[in-house]
Amino acid sequence: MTEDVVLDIQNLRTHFVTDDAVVRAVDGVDLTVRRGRTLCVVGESGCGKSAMARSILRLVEPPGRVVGGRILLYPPADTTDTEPTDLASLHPTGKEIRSVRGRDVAMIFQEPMSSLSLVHTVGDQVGESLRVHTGISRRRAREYAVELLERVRVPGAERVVDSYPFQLSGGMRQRVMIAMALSCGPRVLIADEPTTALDVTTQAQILDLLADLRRDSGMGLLFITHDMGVVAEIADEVAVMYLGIVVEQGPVDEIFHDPQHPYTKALLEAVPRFGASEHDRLTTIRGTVPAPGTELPGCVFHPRCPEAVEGLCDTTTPKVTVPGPGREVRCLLREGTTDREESTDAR
Amino acid sequence: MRQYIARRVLYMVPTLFAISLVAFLIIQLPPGNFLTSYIAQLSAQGQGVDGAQVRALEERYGLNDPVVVQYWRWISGILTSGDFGQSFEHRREVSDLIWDRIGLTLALAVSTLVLSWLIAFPIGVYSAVRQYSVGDYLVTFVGFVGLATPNFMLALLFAWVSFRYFGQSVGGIVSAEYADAAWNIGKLFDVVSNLWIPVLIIGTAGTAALIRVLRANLLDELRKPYVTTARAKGLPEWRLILKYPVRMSLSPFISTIGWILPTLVGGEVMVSIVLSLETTGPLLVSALQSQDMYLAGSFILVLGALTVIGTLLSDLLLAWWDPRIRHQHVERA
Amino acid sequence: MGLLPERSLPPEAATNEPDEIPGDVAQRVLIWRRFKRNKLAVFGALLLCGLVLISVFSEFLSPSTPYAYDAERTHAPPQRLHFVDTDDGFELGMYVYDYRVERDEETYANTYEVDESAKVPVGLFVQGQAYRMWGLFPMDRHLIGAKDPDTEVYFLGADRNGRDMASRIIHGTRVSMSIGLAGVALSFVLGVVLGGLSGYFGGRTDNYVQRVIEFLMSIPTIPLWMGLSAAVPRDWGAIQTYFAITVILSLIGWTDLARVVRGRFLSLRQEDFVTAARLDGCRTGRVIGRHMLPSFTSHIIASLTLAVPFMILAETSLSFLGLGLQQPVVSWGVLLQEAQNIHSISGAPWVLLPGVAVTVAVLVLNFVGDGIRDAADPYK
Repeated sequence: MTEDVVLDIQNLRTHFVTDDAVVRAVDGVDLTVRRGRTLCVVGESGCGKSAMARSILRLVEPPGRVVGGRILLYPPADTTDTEPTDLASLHPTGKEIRSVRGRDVAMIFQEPMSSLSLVHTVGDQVGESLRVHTGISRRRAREYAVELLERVRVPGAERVVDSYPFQLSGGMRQRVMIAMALSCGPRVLIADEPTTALDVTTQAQILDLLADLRRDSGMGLLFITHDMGVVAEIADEVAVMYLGIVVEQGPVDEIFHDPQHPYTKALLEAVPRFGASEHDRLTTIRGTVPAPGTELPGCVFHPRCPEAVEGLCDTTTPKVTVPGPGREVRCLLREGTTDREESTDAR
Repeated sequence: MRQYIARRVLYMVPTLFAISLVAFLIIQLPPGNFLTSYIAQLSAQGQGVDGAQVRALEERYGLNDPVVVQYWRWISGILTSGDFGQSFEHRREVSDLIWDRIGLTLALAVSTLVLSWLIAFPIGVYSAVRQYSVGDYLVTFVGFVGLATPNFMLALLFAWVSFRYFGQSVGGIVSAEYADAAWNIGKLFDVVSNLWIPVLIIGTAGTAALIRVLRANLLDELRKPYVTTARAKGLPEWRLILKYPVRMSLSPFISTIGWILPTLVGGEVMVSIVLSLETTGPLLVSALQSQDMYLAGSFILVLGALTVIGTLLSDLLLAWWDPRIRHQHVERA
Repeated sequence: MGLLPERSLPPEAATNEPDEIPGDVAQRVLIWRRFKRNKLAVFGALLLCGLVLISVFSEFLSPSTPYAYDAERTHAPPQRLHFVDTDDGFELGMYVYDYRVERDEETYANTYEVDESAKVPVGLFVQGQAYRMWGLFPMDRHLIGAKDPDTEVYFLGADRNGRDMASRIIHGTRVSMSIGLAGVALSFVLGVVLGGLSGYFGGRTDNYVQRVIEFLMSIPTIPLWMGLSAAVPRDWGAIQTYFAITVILSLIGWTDLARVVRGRFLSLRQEDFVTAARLDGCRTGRVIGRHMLPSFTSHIIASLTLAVPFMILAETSLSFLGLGLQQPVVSWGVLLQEAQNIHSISGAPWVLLPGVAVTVAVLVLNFVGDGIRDAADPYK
């Protein structure tokens, strides 16, 4: 199992230091991305999943900063070199991290319109990674770009390669983004809500495409989303994030069928279901994510938790418990119900 | 693209027409006309003017015709034979007087524009990329002062310093020894060596404004998602900044030429008056002061028309530079 | 997904905070808080208050009147104010040194030398030249001046007629600042009405207004201003000329403001709350006045503040050329007419001081305007 690991995130912490407060956007996250598998990170807006994703490639902009933890990137299996690189220890604008970006780890973003430059041709932008990392000529890069566009099933790739992003539809633009990310054959693809801005049909097509590409290339996929439906469709493993920490993670089937954390349960109940009676109201989660920078004693979820126990949940920080193989949950009510406990140094 | 150019050129026609109307309005606006001024001058010199002579002159210049007819005669004279009318003060054809001066004004304005660009571009980029650095604060402060000081104040200060510390009066683009000489390398060199100081003075405010525009645009663009995308590809920082956000922020920068040209022409007029350069400025002011309205109106007409053409050129440059305009794409705000 | 978590928060997050009052008041408080954090803007605002006070109390603050002249004191250099007298012991008290004047018999130019033996005592709230406060109340007290009512002091020197530059610049502040404000007030009306119409109705109206704006912006302003002001009859009185010049300045100066307002209207037109107001049956006037305008008042204030300096610069330029305000009105531009001659500048550099006043005023207004704009729109 361990030899399959391509990316191992350990106790990652990313903080935004402003004049008024320190916002702990990511506050001790452990995640593992395996070859050929999809890890979905799910959570509400503002839970720190985007900041986490950006931290991996050190793309968090000031005042944000990776303040602690390790991001271990394992080398390809066929090389003799087995020592992982710790991306968290690299200089955010240095040469080492630049050689990782786009080549070993690639990323696609939510808004395909604003994430592409509107004044450069598609071919220019798709082939750019290759030109930077391999130094091939402009002409060769364009040829590769056509191939890549065909691979992500863009119709009329020969024509699209010389057009500008504003001439394409939203789905086509996201395909261009994916082609761009795939250009150097990365071992890890980070997809930061790539389907959120798209309509449902296009969304399904893009998800299929990503699943196929992952299967064919054997890369690890780290998929960020807030949509439980998308999770069900694409995930192998799921990590549920709330306020900068992972409250529960495990294989997708177990999370869906036997959620342990009250927050996971609430998220699942908030998904509209086919066949539900029309008189049933959709369950919502009480309250909203607290304002950033608020200090909460005890469990981060207790103000909104329907199961919160006064005097316990608002005072004690929960530890990670392991309810089953490959599963972790961070809830005081689950502590003691399992035999094995792990200490945590999250705060 | 061709359609775009055609439309822009077509848009120019009503603007040019409106400018000619304003110029004509300025000619007509002062009470009386140049004939009354002429008569007043003759009487002041003790010469009598009899009514018949006045009527003959009025007849000749069509001063009793309706305004529309007068406008038509004026504008058709300009369009068909380049006849801008008579300068009352100089007793010469206006067209004899203005072209040399306008040529120099144009040379000054264009060199100032080019210089402003060359100075503003690197400073603006630096100041945005290194926001809140010492250099940025310095540039911002100097830029503020540059914007706040009237051009003619700078010219005055310059004249004072050079008079006080170098003991020479400034003024004149063409040095005395070349005054009547035909254009040759020596004269050209002489003009260039005299030109750079006015160019610097006229350029201050414009350069400061350009730096501010570029800095603000670039700061906006630097935070856009496509910059992160480019960074995620592993591009070196400076290469990506120059290729993406700078390229984007140059579009509004190019369109500023449109409004910086009128400012430059205005600044040129003021500075030339102070430094007594042989450009439009001093002649325009003296024409306005002595109500030599055909001369003044012609200056305003030609300067306005040239500015409109300059704006057109900057629009075409922008279309060439920005594919969104070339392809008629309107970004949803 | 925003990089900063606070931006991706749903709007109702704020209402959950019991100590934050939602709505208009909180917004204003927030703007004020952000403005206060901008040191340069606060500094500018203080200086601006000073300039306004100077404009309001010009007569009292001047050591003399702007028209009192003294042929013995033409182009007299500035006198330095001393606070401590160390000649015999140590004595507190304000004084300046008198001049020794020599007249060149050929050129009639006075040359001045500081006469350290003759002190002119200076006091606060002294009696001096008689004036009418705000043109109404006869008074003769000045904030500062020579204790002897018959003597004049020249803190900033004298002009070629021996008039006190300090008093003239102080009175010029009133004229120059007020013409800036009056011009902007007129531009404001034109800009908001035309820009608002253009942005609210869009379509053909928008197209026409845009053409007019483009046209006005494409003409070199200074020649146009010069042409129009030259058409102001010379025999008009000071007040008439003043208003004529103000109208001319604002006729051309409204375009920027109109563009700002139009842009805002165009983007606001799409907003849900405007659609909601319209669907609720509000009349056009009410939609604009009650729903749209309040949401960008701060932008308008910022644009207005930034427009004043342009007016001041324009007035100064025109008056400097002799095409704007005319003597005996005292504005900074009129005062600078004295600086047109290189010989008066080299002999008496203090005639350039009104230009310094212009620069300071324009700087200050820019600082304040930028501060308001940044505070009103931190993400812009």
